[in-house]
Amino acid sequence: MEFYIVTNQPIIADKIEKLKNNTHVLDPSDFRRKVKESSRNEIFYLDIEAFKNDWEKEFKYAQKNDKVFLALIDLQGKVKDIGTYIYKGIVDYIGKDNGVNDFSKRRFIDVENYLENYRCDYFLADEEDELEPGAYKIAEKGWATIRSDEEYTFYIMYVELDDKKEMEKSFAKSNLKLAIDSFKRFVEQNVARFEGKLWIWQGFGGVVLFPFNGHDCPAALSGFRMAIYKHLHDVEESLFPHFISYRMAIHLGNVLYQEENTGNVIADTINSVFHLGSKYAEPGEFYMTDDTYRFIHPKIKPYFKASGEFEGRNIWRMRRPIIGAFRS
Amino acid sequence: MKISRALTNLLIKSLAESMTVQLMIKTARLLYRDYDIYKQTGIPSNIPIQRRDAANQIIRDVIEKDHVIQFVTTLIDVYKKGIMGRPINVRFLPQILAELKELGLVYSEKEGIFIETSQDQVTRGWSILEEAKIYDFTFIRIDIVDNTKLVRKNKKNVIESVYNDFKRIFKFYVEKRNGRIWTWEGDGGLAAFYLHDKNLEAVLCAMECLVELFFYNLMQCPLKEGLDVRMAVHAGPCQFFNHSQDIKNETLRRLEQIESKFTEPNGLTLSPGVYSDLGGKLEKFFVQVPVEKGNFVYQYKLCWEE
Repeated sequence: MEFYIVTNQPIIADKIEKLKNNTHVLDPSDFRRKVKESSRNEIFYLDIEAFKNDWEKEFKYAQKNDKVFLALIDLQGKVKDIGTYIYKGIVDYIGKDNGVNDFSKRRFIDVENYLENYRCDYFLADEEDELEPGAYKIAEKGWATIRSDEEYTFYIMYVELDDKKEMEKSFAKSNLKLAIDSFKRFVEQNVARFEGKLWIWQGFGGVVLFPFNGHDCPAALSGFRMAIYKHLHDVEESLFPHFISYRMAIHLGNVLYQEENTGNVIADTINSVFHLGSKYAEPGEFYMTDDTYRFIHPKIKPYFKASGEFEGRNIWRMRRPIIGAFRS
Repeated sequence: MKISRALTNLLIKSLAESMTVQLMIKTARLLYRDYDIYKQTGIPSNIPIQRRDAANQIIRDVIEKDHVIQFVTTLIDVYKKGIMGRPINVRFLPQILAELKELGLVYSEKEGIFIETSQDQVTRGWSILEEAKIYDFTFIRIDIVDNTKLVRKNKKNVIESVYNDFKRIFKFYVEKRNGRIWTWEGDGGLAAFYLHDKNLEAVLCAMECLVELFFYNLMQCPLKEGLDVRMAVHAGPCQFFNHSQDIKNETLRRLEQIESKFTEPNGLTLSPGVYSDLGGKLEKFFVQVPVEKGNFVYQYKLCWEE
């Protein structure tokens, strides 16, 4: 945990410089840049004198980055209602009474303890960012740097049409192939815009790989989008005469990538996602493991519900979009 | 439409080398019923007209009336069907079509008309509609919910940016399906569809817009409350004008009523005429809702399992 004291007051800067370790003085002109770059837990103490009348604007700006925690330095006692800022999530307040004497190593340890014990957003943020050393094998520039016969960490998406047996009975082989191909194209087009690549296709479904970059989950966005756009695909592009149903499941894990994939890949992570998709998943639903859920965009989290456990992992299911019905 | 000298010469050459003067006149009369080549050229009717001169005059008249597209469409028909049972090999048609493609117009075999393809070439009337004539259109009306409140609550630059995004999304989906935006008022507008399957294209356009706006609100929109819209689709006759006009007619009045009175925020409502044209699969996404005097409308909205 790094602490940045955003000030241009020598009295504060001097005090901080004596503390050393993980505390830094940051010039107010660098504040926004630093906040924008911040991708792991950092705490910014805003000296309201440093920004004059604009400090609230800077405060609001910093709030947009949910990895950043804020504290206030108010040596003149100008903040009228500190409670307002507590509700806005500040982690500390250095006021008029003790002034710069409040700055101490002990103080910062107390702030860290407070975050660890009382703040669920700190706990989650920390869990997201703290990758176990060596656990993830990240391809720095995604597909551009991925080479065959090397292991990488991917989001692995399983997708398969439901009702296979009924379709095989109802359709002539050639027509069925054309219809399945229309679904395969739908999958390919939708995953491609999120850097996904259809890696295996067998029969009624397949596996898509999305390179893992250490912090995002494009696979979830892709699946989310596919689930919502499904009804438009049914109407316009699908060659099936009926509304199709398909299951999706996403898991995060390491895979030995092979360019020339024969469909005979044997890997724990691939098996896991196949089991999740074929044994656990209900028709028409979209699931992900907890490992994946940790990294999904916070804005789509409300659209997923806890769905129980499977093979020792917590599973999340996407809430079903309901098209054409209205809430009463 | 500005016609190049190259295209003009090609058209003249095509007529002059493919047909006799009599056949040229018959072709011109497919477009202009009472076309009189003698009256147009001023040459007395007892003096034979040279092929080149006749072709020159006809093409000059066509260009003057800005009917080149219609005339080439006629030439294509003549090529396919002949005149009075007589096959006509209309020369230089591929070259003429290539010149028109350069101008952003492509001939659609399916529709039997030229369609604008280039973004620069998008016109209100698809380059084929005539001023003040009445045609059957399908319209989409889109409107931002609580626009006044949004403008009051948010900074001007933020609202401008959001409204630009909103227009960009709507325009993209309208033009993707060969519709045209006729009016835009900042907080909403009107799009028209005229070509083949216009009801279906308008409805799919509106559905795609709503889904895309859902994603915009979720991932990008800087407004705390998001941007809510209402959309309605209705079809009917309307007079066409090339320039922006405050067109008022029964079709557009009914459309406005459907949108403002019968549509929920982030919902789409269809009139019965449009709904009846949708076909089995698409119909299933709409719910029948009774409105006044025993009438119904059909509503679509994206909702979520609790």
